[in-house]
Amino acid sequence: MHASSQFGAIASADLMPTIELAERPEAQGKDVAVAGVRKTYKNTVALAEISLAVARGEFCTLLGASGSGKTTLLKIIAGFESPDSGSVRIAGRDVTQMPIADRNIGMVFQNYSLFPHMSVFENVAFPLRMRRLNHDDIRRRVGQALDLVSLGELRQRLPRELSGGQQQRVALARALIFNPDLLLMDEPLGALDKNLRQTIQLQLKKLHHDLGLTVVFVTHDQEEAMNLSDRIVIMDQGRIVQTGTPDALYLQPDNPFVAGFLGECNFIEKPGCIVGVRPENVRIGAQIGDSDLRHDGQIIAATFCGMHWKLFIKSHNATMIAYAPVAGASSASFEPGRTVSWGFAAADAMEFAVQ
Amino acid sequence: MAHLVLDLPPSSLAARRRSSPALLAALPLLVFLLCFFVGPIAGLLKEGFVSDGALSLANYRHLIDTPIYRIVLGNTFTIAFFVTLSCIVMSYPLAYLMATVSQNVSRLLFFAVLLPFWASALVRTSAWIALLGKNGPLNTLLTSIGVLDQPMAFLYNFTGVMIGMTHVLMPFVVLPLYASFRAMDNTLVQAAQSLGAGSVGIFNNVVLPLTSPGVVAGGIIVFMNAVGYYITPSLMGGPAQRMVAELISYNISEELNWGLAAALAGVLLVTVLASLWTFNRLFGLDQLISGSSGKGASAAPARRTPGGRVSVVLGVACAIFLLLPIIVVVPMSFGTSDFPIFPPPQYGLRWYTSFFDDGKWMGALFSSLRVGVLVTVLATLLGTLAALGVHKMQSERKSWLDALFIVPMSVPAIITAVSLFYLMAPLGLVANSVAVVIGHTVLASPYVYITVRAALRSFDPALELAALSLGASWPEMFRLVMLPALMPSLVGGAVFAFVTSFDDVVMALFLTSIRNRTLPKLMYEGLAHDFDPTVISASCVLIGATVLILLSNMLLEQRKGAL
Amino acid sequence: MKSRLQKLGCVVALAAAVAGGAQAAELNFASWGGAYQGAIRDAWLKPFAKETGIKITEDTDPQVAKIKAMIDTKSVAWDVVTENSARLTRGIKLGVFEKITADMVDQKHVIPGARNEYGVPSEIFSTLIGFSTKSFPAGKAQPSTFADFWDVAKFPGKRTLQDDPATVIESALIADGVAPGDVYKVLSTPAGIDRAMKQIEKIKPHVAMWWKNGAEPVNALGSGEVVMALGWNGRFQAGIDSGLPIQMGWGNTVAQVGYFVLVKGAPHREEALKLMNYMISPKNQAEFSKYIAYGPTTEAAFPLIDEARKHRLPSTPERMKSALFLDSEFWEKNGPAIVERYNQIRAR
Repeated sequence: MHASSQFGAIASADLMPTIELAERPEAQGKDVAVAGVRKTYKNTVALAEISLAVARGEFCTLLGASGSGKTTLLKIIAGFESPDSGSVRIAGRDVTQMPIADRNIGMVFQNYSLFPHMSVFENVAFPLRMRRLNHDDIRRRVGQALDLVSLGELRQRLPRELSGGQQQRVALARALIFNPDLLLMDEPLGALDKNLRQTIQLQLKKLHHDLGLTVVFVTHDQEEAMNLSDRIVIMDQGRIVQTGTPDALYLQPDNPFVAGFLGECNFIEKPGCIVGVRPENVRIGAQIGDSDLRHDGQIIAATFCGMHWKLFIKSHNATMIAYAPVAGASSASFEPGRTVSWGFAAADAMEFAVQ
Repeated sequence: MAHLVLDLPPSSLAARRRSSPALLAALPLLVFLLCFFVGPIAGLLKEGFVSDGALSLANYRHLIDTPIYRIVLGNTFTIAFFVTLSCIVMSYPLAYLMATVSQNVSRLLFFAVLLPFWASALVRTSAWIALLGKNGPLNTLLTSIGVLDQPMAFLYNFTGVMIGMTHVLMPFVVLPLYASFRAMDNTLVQAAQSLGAGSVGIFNNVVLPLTSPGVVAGGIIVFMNAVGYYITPSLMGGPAQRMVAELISYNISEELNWGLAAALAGVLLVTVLASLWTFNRLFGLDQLISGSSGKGASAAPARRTPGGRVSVVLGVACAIFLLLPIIVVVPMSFGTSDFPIFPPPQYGLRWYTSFFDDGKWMGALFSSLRVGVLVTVLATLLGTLAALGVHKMQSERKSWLDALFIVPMSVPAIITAVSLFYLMAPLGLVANSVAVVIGHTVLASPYVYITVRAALRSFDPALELAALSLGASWPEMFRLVMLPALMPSLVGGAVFAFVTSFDDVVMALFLTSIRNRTLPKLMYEGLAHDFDPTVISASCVLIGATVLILLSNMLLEQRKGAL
Repeated sequence: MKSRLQKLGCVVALAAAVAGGAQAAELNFASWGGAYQGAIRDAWLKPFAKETGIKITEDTDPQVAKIKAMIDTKSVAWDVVTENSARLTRGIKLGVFEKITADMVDQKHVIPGARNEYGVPSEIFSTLIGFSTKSFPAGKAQPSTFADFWDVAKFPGKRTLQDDPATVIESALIADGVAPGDVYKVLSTPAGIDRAMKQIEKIKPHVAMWWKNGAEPVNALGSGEVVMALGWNGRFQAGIDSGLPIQMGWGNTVAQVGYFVLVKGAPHREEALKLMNYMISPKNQAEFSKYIAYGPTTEAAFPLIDEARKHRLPSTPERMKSALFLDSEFWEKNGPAIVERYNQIRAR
């Protein structure tokens, strides 16, 4: 009985409810500026002179592999770590030395960090109690917040009695209830399955839009980053590699690292430079235009991906990836061992200087 | 001081800002142990290098030159070794049984393991003495069913010491071994079976290798404890089982030979620290921290492996071995004879009357309770603070502090007791209860430290950050978030501290006087000077108290498990 | 450092003195527990307290080491303690006991062999053979001398000896044929000690347990754990009186004296001397053997003791003749070395 009602709650969330966007109000969030922040642990450099400005109401994602410094940067903004040098400003105010409690930052943790001995209500009420709000205000605002994330029914439950997605929403409500200047999220969707993740991403986008939040979001999942962000900051080895909107980063990566990190990319070494070609721009057989560069290769494997066939082609001792249209092709046409010719338009080639 | 701070790069300034409250929290226990553990022991050891007022190695030379000391050291290590061995051998069937029976039976077995472990050494020893005597119940049983022709001498020899010490120390192996059995992947056993291995083959090739780390860890702990044992071998062994601790005590209280006692203590201390060091190298002190937090019951799924019938029988026998003296002592306490006889020819409340009516026994009981409560409060405070402090530290000194805060429970109580006596008797602190409270706090605070430290390790640090980021100050966070999470362990540690104090004999022997002697000390006097049957009724009162404490602690653990 | 400790001790003592001054007369007494302390309580402490109104607090284990620690800090808790002659000698060497002069306690009537400048002899007790009448019933051969104790062929069965070598070594030599009067002469040479140790080695396989407190040999005889024991006559008598099948052999005895001793710096010195004077009076000396079979230390007490009771006591003039008195000087000097060898032999 219990299990089925829980399942019901998840299922209704999974159905992708039609979401009505509210009028976007004056942004509730504040702008954040990180300037010259450096952090070392013993001998390893975690962050090397990072500067980053996040505008009011912006959804900014720090994207990188583990050890890239994205979480350290988030912790420094939150105040969990203090930088060796540099400063953090929120709405122009230097908060570098300010205690965490005074920064007015909402944070959603990787595994939600709900207080296990407190009910949903008490968890969400916690920041308000810390701010000494009176009893009635707390009841009213917690009620509103729980309604906002559709958890009004479950207010008396303990965290361990909730599903992962519900816990996620409690964490979100708790982080937003005190109107923080800034919402920090540390890989908050990592523990959820794929369908649920998409639903929550959508709700998150709506909340961001409706409330005008400033969000700094950390993830290693490039797809998630592209889905959510106004702007993505790609980090590697404690540095910012490139910053930009998702499409700008995808279409005009500054270097092979970004090209390879965001989406798939084939790299071809040329004297003095490296050329990158996205698989969707690789053309097969008859599609190859006259002016295109043309090579021969052997199909190693072919996978059907729904929108296209994904081909692995051995050519010049390298493996190229190409997306071939589904129309007019069959599994027989991409049988492993067959020789195919492939090419790409010069305009689709992204040229990078050799570093 | 100010310019020193300015000279530092900003990074260490930041680090300093963060870790200074941590250091401050660890400071009270640190200072306490330096004053009442490290300092006194150093003072005692120094005596070992002084002879006739001058620095010399004469005391150590005397140890080497006089055959008896070599013999006693040899005895000590031999006994400790064989006790370790017998603990391991007997633990296997019991731990296996515990890991494979239903939850309720497993809980019962846990109780059988923990009860003797928590019951005072004196209670157990007096029970065994009553049970194993030449005309005791065991000999009566064995001769009447024809196993023995004539009564066998179980007491005042090697057998007696082995029985007494194995009984006390077995839980140190059973508990980690139980954990290993629980952690063992049962499909491995099935795989071995499918590959044609028989019971012996499975045990040798699968079970033994997989459980050996737990066993070695438990074995080292047993050995460490066994080399410093005093009460049990002194009461259940003969001259050939005399151990170092007894000689230390003898040289101090009878011969007033502090130098020789200190030299003996030096040898013992080196042995124990070497064992601890080995443990640290092999497993890390962490293991000690996580290992001893598992003292409560936990649920066991039923997983029966084949060839287990023999081990089930052996396991049940081991459980009976653990419970037997405690079961037997109860009817004996209702006897009316002047001598320990089982079964008692006549029943009555004579010895309970003597316990509850005699001001001496009641005085000792209240003294024990008072000391116990004081020690519990002190140890819980110091231990919890220190655990919090060390938990917050980032640097390498963490491992040093960990070691220092754990060592007092590994160092034989006799050494700590004698060292404190050396420090405090001249200050007149033995006559009031200050000395014994301090001594017990030295013994007990490691238990609180360990349990709270283990709880802190499993406490999600993100919860703390979450609370802080939601606007809580650190004290608010501690009160509302951390403390509720630590509470069960804190209570567990406090209970352990109380029991440690309430059961201790060795410290009390040296650190209390007539006016403030504790119940175990009075019981010891009742056994050592002249057999006073009130000791048995007192034992039963203590067993009753222990059962109550243990049950409530188990209930608490269960509630924690449910949360 | 030491002087500072002493100063602190002074303060403590001063505080104790101030606190003590206001209280009613009291006395702290420490002895060795068991039937022995019970007899002292019934024969002397209770009537003394009743007569004088002095409140007596009892303690146990007045080890010389503890007294020394108390004195070093001037925080002495005990006034009167009881010690055997070996401990008395050690205490005198350490300077923890006060000299008892004739004007403090009159001891003119005390048996000369028992007198000591630093103690008032309270009783005489003997180490002798106790045996089980179940194993050696009347009508058959019964052991009586130390030689019988060592004769395992004639008197088979397990034995028990004291864990402390004092009296055991002496018995061993007497059993080996040394005349009681020559025992300490023989023991003054290394060869003599070797001879005694050989005797211990000889009896060792037949010793079931080495007792540490005076009740143990009695319990062991009673339970059948052993058939013969070297122990204290008063303790055996207590066992006999409670119906245990025990009998004593009076053929050889090693006599010891128990002393009441005044601790240096005793807080209730006047009351302590009062108790000592009370205890040593012939009338009260005669009382003690009502409660435990230990003999009076003054011949003047014997007329007050009835014949039946006299037979149980070790200090009757005729028994004193064959008895060897324990030489506490010898034990103080050679004790530690003999203990080490005694332990060594038994540890193998």
